[in-house]
Amino acid sequence: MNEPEAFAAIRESTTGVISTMLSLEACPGEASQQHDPPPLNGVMALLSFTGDWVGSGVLYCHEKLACRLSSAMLLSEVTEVNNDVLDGIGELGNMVLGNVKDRLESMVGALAMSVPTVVYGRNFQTRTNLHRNWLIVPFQIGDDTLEVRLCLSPKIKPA
Amino acid sequence: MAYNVFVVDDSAVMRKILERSLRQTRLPIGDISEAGDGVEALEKLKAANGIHVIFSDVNMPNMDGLELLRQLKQTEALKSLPVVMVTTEGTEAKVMEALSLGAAGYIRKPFTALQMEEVLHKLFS
Repeated sequence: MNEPEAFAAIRESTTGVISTMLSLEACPGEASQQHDPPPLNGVMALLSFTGDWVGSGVLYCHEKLACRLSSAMLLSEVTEVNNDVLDGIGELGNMVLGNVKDRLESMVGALAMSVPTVVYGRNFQTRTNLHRNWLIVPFQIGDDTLEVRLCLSPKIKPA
Repeated sequence: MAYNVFVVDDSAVMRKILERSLRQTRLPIGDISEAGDGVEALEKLKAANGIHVIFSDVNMPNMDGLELLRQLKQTEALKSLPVVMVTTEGTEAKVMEALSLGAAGYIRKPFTALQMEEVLHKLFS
C-alpha cells in the first residue's frame, strides 16, 4: 500500500465528510506513523477491514468535540455523551473510513468493512497484532482535534 | 401529492439526518416511517400502506440492505416499490450489484439534500 496515497485518502475523505454532513471545516495536520500510539480519552469509532488486506480504522476525538459533532449532525445542542453521540461518532467513522476504503481498493483490492463499534472512556489503548504502524492524521476543527487512524496489512495466504 | 417515505438504517442519527434532508428537498414529503435493519423493515413494509419509496443503508446487522432488496423483489405486494440505496459503499462493482438486484437509485454517503432531491426527481418525474 502506497502510504502517501493512504494519507491523501484519509485527508480527502475526512474533510469531505465533515464539510458535507456537518458544514464544518476540518484542517488536516501533520500525518505520522506510530506502532504504539498513546492512550485515548474520549470517544472512538472502530471499524475492521478484511479482504486480501486486513486491519482496522479508527475515528477518535475527546468528549467535547464528540458532543459538538453530534450537535452539528442533529442540529440540536448536545452537552454530554449519550446514545445519540455514540451513534453519531459511529456513523461518522462509518462514512470517513468507508470512503477511505473505496479509495484504497484500487491499491489493495476489494475490502469488506464491519459495522462500527464505538468505545467511550478514559485512558484506553488500541493494539493490533499486525506488524505494521498505524497511519495517523489529525484534523483541527475549531479548537478541537479529530484523529483518523488506519492500520492495514496484506493477509498472508497459505503456500 | 405527498410522497410517503420509508427509511432503513441501523444508525438512529443517520435516520434523523435522512429525514431532515428529505424535508429540505423541494418535493412534497408526507409521512416518513423507519426501521433499524432489514428484518424490521420487511415486517413493517408488509403491514404498511401508501409507501412511495424506500431509502436503505447497505451495511446493517441482521439483514443488510442488499438482502432486503432481494426479499422485497421476491414479495409480490412490495416488488414494485422503488428502493434507493444510501451507503458508504461507492465502488462501481457495488453500485452495479445493487442496480442489478433492482435498486432504483444509489446515493453515496456523505450526501446533500440536493442529491436526494435529484434522485427523487428522477423517480417521480
